[in-house]
Amino acid sequence: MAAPSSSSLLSKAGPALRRQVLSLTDAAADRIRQLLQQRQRSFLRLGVKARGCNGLSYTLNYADEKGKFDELVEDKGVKILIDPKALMHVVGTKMDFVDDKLRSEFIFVNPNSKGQCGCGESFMTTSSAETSKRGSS
Amino acid sequence: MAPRSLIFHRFNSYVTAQIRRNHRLLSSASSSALHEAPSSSSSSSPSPSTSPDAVHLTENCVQRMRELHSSEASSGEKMLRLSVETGGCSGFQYVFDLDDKTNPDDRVFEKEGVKLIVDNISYDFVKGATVDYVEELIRSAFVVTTNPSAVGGCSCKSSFMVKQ
Repeated sequence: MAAPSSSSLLSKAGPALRRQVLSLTDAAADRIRQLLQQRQRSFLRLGVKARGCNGLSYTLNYADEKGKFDELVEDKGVKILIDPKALMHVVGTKMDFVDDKLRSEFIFVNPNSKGQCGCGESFMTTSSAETSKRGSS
Repeated sequence: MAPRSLIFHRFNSYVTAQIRRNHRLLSSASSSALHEAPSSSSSSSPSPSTSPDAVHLTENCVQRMRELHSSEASSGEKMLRLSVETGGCSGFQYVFDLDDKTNPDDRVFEKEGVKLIVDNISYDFVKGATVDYVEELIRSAFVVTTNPSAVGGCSCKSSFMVKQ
Protein backbone atom coordinates (compact mmCIF):
# COMPACT_ATOMS: atom_id res chain seq x y z
CA MET A 1 0.00 0.00 0.00
CA ALA A 2 1.14 3.47 -0.71
CA ALA A 3 2.22 5.41 2.32
CA PRO A 4 0.13 8.48 3.10
CA SER A 5 1.12 11.02 0.47
CA SER A 6 3.63 13.58 1.63
CA SER A 7 1.38 16.40 0.50
CA SER A 8 -1.43 15.31 2.83
CA LEU A 9 1.09 15.00 5.66
CA LEU A 10 2.40 18.46 4.92
CA SER A 11 -1.06 19.94 4.73
CA LYS A 12 -1.79 18.51 8.18
CA ALA A 13 1.59 19.65 9.53
CA GLY A 14 1.38 22.98 7.74
CA PRO A 15 -0.94 24.87 10.11
CA ALA A 16 0.90 23.50 13.15
CA LEU A 17 4.26 24.60 11.74
CA ARG A 18 2.85 28.02 10.93
CA ARG A 19 1.61 28.41 14.48
CA GLN A 20 5.08 27.71 15.77
CA VAL A 21 6.81 30.31 13.65
CA LEU A 22 5.47 33.25 15.61
CA SER A 23 3.19 33.36 18.61
CA LEU A 24 1.43 36.35 20.10
CA THR A 25 0.48 37.17 23.65
CA ASP A 26 -3.05 38.43 24.29
CA ALA A 27 -1.69 41.92 24.84
CA ALA A 28 0.11 41.91 21.50
CA ALA A 29 -2.89 40.52 19.65
CA ASP A 30 -5.20 43.12 21.19
CA ARG A 31 -2.86 45.93 20.30
CA ILE A 32 -2.42 44.70 16.71
CA ARG A 33 -6.16 44.33 16.29
CA GLN A 34 -6.65 47.87 17.57
CA LEU A 35 -3.98 49.27 15.25
CA LEU A 36 -5.28 47.47 12.15
CA GLN A 37 -8.83 48.56 12.84
CA GLN A 38 -7.84 52.14 13.52
CA ARG A 39 -5.86 52.45 10.31
CA GLN A 40 -8.09 50.14 8.28
CA ARG A 41 -5.15 48.03 7.11
CA SER A 42 -5.13 44.30 6.53
CA PHE A 43 -1.85 43.04 7.95
CA LEU A 44 1.24 43.92 9.88
CA ARG A 45 4.47 42.82 8.26
CA LEU A 46 7.35 41.77 10.50
CA GLY A 47 10.87 41.97 9.14
CA VAL A 48 14.45 42.30 10.26
CA LYS A 49 17.12 44.65 9.13
CA ALA A 50 20.83 44.72 9.76
CA ARG A 51 21.61 47.58 12.11
CA GLY A 52 22.19 48.34 15.70
CA CYS A 53 25.15 47.23 17.66
CA ASN A 54 24.58 43.55 17.67
CA GLY A 55 23.41 42.42 14.26
CA LEU A 56 19.71 42.68 13.55
CA SER A 57 16.70 44.62 14.65
CA TYR A 58 13.01 44.08 14.07
CA THR A 59 10.91 46.17 11.72
CA LEU A 60 7.16 46.43 11.74
CA ASN A 61 5.05 48.01 9.01
CA TYR A 62 1.48 48.05 7.81
CA ALA A 63 0.71 45.95 4.76
CA ASP A 64 -2.35 45.49 2.61
CA GLU A 65 -1.38 42.54 0.50
CA LYS A 66 0.51 39.38 1.07
CA GLY A 67 3.72 39.26 -0.93
CA LYS A 68 4.36 36.11 -2.90
CA PHE A 69 6.91 34.73 -0.45
CA ASP A 70 5.59 36.23 2.76
CA GLU A 71 4.69 33.80 5.50
CA LEU A 72 1.21 34.39 6.87
CA VAL A 73 0.74 33.78 10.55
CA GLU A 74 -2.69 33.88 12.08
CA ASP A 75 -2.93 33.83 15.86
CA LYS A 76 -5.73 34.96 18.16
CA GLY A 77 -7.69 36.31 15.24
CA VAL A 78 -4.92 38.58 14.01
CA LYS A 79 -2.89 38.28 10.80
CA ILE A 80 0.82 38.93 10.59
CA LEU A 81 3.00 38.61 7.51
CA ILE A 82 6.61 37.63 7.95
CA ASP A 83 9.15 38.85 5.45
CA PRO A 84 10.89 35.82 3.85
CA LYS A 85 14.32 37.23 4.73
CA ALA A 86 13.30 37.42 8.37
CA LEU A 87 11.69 34.02 8.62
CA MET A 88 14.67 31.97 9.70
CA HIS A 89 15.65 34.58 12.29
CA VAL A 90 12.26 34.81 13.98
CA VAL A 91 11.12 31.19 14.05
CA GLY A 92 9.79 30.43 17.50
CA THR A 93 9.58 34.05 18.57
CA LYS A 94 6.94 35.21 20.98
CA MET A 95 5.66 38.72 20.39
CA ASP A 96 4.45 40.69 23.39
CA PHE A 97 3.26 44.24 23.96
CA VAL A 98 4.19 46.26 27.03
CA ASP A 99 2.47 49.50 27.85
CA ASP A 100 3.54 51.69 30.72
CA LYS A 101 3.68 55.41 31.26
CA LEU A 102 7.17 55.85 29.91
CA ARG A 103 6.91 53.71 26.82
CA SER A 104 4.72 51.33 24.92
CA GLU A 105 6.36 48.87 22.61
CA PHE A 106 6.25 45.48 21.01
CA ILE A 107 8.87 43.17 22.42
CA PHE A 108 10.12 39.98 20.86
CA VAL A 109 11.25 37.01 22.89
CA ASN A 110 13.38 35.15 20.39
CA PRO A 111 14.86 31.77 21.36
CA ASN A 112 17.35 32.04 18.48
CA SER A 113 18.80 35.23 19.83
CA LYS A 114 22.39 34.73 20.94
CA GLY A 115 22.90 38.12 22.44
CA GLN A 116 21.25 41.44 22.75
CA CYS A 117 22.15 45.06 22.73
CA GLY A 118 21.78 46.67 26.13
CA CYS A 119 18.70 48.48 24.94
CA GLY A 120 17.30 45.17 23.72
CA GLU A 121 16.67 46.40 20.23
CA SER A 122 19.49 44.64 18.40
CA PHE A 123 19.99 40.94 18.48
CA MET A 124 22.12 38.32 16.79
CA THR A 125 21.23 34.80 15.79
CA THR A 126 23.57 32.02 14.76
CA SER A 127 22.35 32.32 11.17
CA SER A 128 22.96 36.06 11.09
CA ALA A 129 26.42 35.61 12.59
CA GLU A 130 27.26 33.08 9.89
CA THR A 131 25.89 35.31 7.18
CA SER A 132 28.02 38.22 8.33
CA LYS A 133 31.09 35.99 8.46
CA ARG A 134 30.47 34.78 4.93
CA GLY A 135 29.87 38.31 3.78
CA SER A 136 33.15 39.58 5.18
CA SER A 137 35.32 36.66 3.97
CA MET B 1 36.71 27.07 15.57
CA ALA B 2 39.87 28.38 17.23
CA PRO B 3 39.99 31.76 15.42
CA ARG B 4 36.33 32.43 16.33
CA SER B 5 36.91 31.84 20.04
CA LEU B 6 40.06 33.98 19.91
CA ILE B 7 38.12 36.85 18.38
CA PHE B 8 35.42 36.39 20.99
CA HIS B 9 37.96 36.52 23.84
CA ARG B 10 39.57 39.66 22.44
CA PHE B 11 36.19 41.29 21.98
CA ASN B 12 35.17 40.24 25.48
CA SER B 13 38.28 41.71 27.12
CA TYR B 14 37.86 44.93 25.09
CA VAL B 15 34.26 45.27 26.24
CA THR B 16 35.09 44.58 29.90
CA ALA B 17 37.95 47.10 29.73
CA GLN B 18 35.51 49.67 28.32
CA ILE B 19 32.99 48.90 31.06
CA ARG B 20 35.67 49.31 33.74
CA ARG B 21 36.76 52.60 32.18
CA ASN B 22 33.21 53.89 32.16
CA HIS B 23 32.68 52.85 35.78
CA ARG B 24 35.79 54.82 36.71
CA LEU B 25 34.53 57.81 34.73
CA LEU B 26 31.20 57.75 36.50
CA SER B 27 32.66 57.26 39.99
CA SER B 28 35.29 59.96 39.47
CA ALA B 29 32.54 62.31 38.32
CA SER B 30 30.57 61.54 41.48
CA SER B 31 33.56 62.07 43.79
CA SER B 32 34.40 65.40 42.14
CA ALA B 33 30.75 66.41 42.45
CA LEU B 34 30.90 65.66 46.18
CA HIS B 35 33.93 67.93 46.54
CA GLU B 36 32.26 70.73 44.58
CA ALA B 37 28.91 70.53 46.38
CA PRO B 38 29.68 72.88 49.28
CA SER B 39 30.83 75.68 46.97
CA SER B 40 28.04 75.42 44.36
CA SER B 41 24.47 76.42 45.09
CA SER B 42 22.38 73.59 46.39
CA SER B 43 19.06 74.89 45.19
CA SER B 44 17.12 72.93 42.64
CA SER B 45 15.34 75.91 41.11
CA PRO B 46 14.68 75.64 37.39
CA SER B 47 17.70 76.54 35.24
CA PRO B 48 17.18 78.88 32.30
CA SER B 49 16.38 76.67 29.33
CA THR B 50 17.92 79.03 26.82
CA SER B 51 21.54 78.41 27.83
CA PRO B 52 23.45 76.11 25.45
CA ASP B 53 24.26 73.66 28.23
CA ALA B 54 20.62 73.19 29.22
CA VAL B 55 18.79 70.01 28.42
CA HIS B 56 15.98 70.79 25.98
CA LEU B 57 12.54 69.27 25.60
CA THR B 58 10.67 69.00 22.32
CA GLU B 59 7.02 69.88 21.82
CA ASN B 60 6.16 66.20 21.51
CA CYS B 61 7.85 65.50 24.82
CA VAL B 62 5.93 68.29 26.53
CA GLN B 63 2.67 67.10 24.96
CA ARG B 64 3.22 63.54 26.19
CA MET B 65 4.03 64.72 29.74
CA ARG B 66 0.84 66.79 29.74
CA GLU B 67 -1.12 63.69 28.73
CA LEU B 68 0.46 61.78 31.60
CA HIS B 69 -0.40 64.58 34.04
CA SER B 70 -4.03 64.62 32.99
CA SER B 71 -4.42 60.85 33.21
CA GLU B 72 -2.64 60.71 36.57
CA ALA B 73 -5.11 60.60 39.45
CA SER B 74 -2.56 61.09 42.22
CA SER B 75 -1.81 64.52 43.60
CA GLY B 76 1.98 64.29 43.24
CA GLU B 77 3.04 66.01 40.05
CA LYS B 78 5.22 63.64 38.12
CA MET B 79 8.39 64.97 36.55
CA LEU B 80 10.52 63.24 33.96
CA ARG B 81 13.86 62.13 35.33
CA LEU B 82 16.74 61.44 32.99
CA SER B 83 19.79 59.61 34.29
CA VAL B 84 22.85 58.04 32.76
CA GLU B 85 24.02 54.58 33.73
CA THR B 86 26.83 52.37 32.54
CA GLY B 87 25.77 49.68 30.17
CA GLY B 88 24.53 49.17 26.67
CA CYS B 89 26.73 48.37 23.74
CA SER B 90 28.53 51.70 23.61
CA GLY B 91 29.30 52.31 27.27
CA PHE B 92 26.54 54.42 28.72
CA GLN B 93 22.81 54.38 28.45
CA TYR B 94 19.97 56.72 29.20
CA VAL B 95 17.35 55.78 31.75
CA PHE B 96 14.02 57.57 31.97
CA ASP B 97 11.83 57.57 35.02
CA LEU B 98 8.89 59.40 36.51
CA ASP B 99 9.59 61.08 39.82
CA ASP B 100 7.74 63.48 42.05
CA LYS B 101 10.61 64.68 44.22
CA THR B 102 13.91 66.34 43.52
CA ASN B 103 17.16 66.01 45.40
CA PRO B 104 19.29 69.01 46.40
CA ASP B 105 21.89 68.28 43.73
CA ASP B 106 19.40 67.83 40.86
CA ARG B 107 19.06 70.21 37.95
CA VAL B 108 15.57 70.98 36.81
CA PHE B 109 14.71 72.11 33.29
CA GLU B 110 11.26 73.39 32.57
CA LYS B 111 9.24 73.99 29.45
CA GLU B 112 5.59 75.04 29.39
CA GLY B 113 5.02 73.71 32.88
CA VAL B 114 6.68 70.36 32.25
CA LYS B 115 9.78 69.59 34.29
CA LEU B 116 12.79 67.46 33.47
CA ILE B 117 15.15 66.47 36.28
CA VAL B 118 18.76 65.47 35.79
CA ASP B 119 21.00 64.50 38.70
CA ASN B 120 24.33 66.25 39.00
CA ILE B 121 26.42 63.31 37.90
CA SER B 122 24.33 62.49 34.84
CA TYR B 123 24.16 66.14 33.83
CA ASP B 124 27.81 66.16 32.74
CA PHE B 125 26.96 63.52 30.17
CA VAL B 126 23.84 65.17 28.77
CA LYS B 127 24.73 68.87 28.61
CA GLY B 128 23.01 70.44 25.66
CA ALA B 129 21.04 67.34 24.75
CA THR B 130 17.42 67.21 23.61
CA VAL B 131 14.73 64.91 24.96
CA ASP B 132 12.00 63.87 22.55
CA TYR B 133 9.03 61.51 22.59
CA VAL B 134 9.09 59.41 19.44
CA GLU B 135 6.04 57.49 18.26
CA GLU B 136 6.49 54.64 15.83
CA LEU B 137 4.47 51.56 15.05
CA ILE B 138 6.88 49.28 16.87
CA ARG B 139 7.38 51.54 19.91
CA SER B 140 6.62 54.90 21.49
CA ALA B 141 9.17 56.10 24.00
CA PHE B 142 11.17 59.01 25.35
CA VAL B 143 14.52 59.28 23.59
CA VAL B 144 17.52 61.53 23.83
CA THR B 145 18.23 62.98 20.40
CA THR B 146 21.33 65.04 19.66
CA ASN B 147 23.60 64.83 22.66
CA PRO B 148 26.65 67.07 22.11
CA SER B 149 28.45 65.33 24.95
CA ALA B 150 28.21 61.96 23.28
CA VAL B 151 30.12 60.62 20.36
CA GLY B 152 29.28 57.55 18.37
CA GLY B 153 26.88 55.25 20.04
CA CYS B 154 24.41 52.53 19.41
CA SER B 155 22.11 53.28 16.49
CA CYS B 156 19.09 52.43 18.59
CA LYS B 157 20.04 55.63 20.43
CA SER B 158 19.78 54.31 23.93
CA SER B 159 23.49 53.73 24.43
CA PHE B 160 26.36 56.10 23.74
CA MET B 161 30.03 56.85 24.37
CA VAL B 162 31.39 60.07 25.84
CA LYS B 163 33.90 62.46 24.36
CA GLN B 164 37.11 62.45 26.39
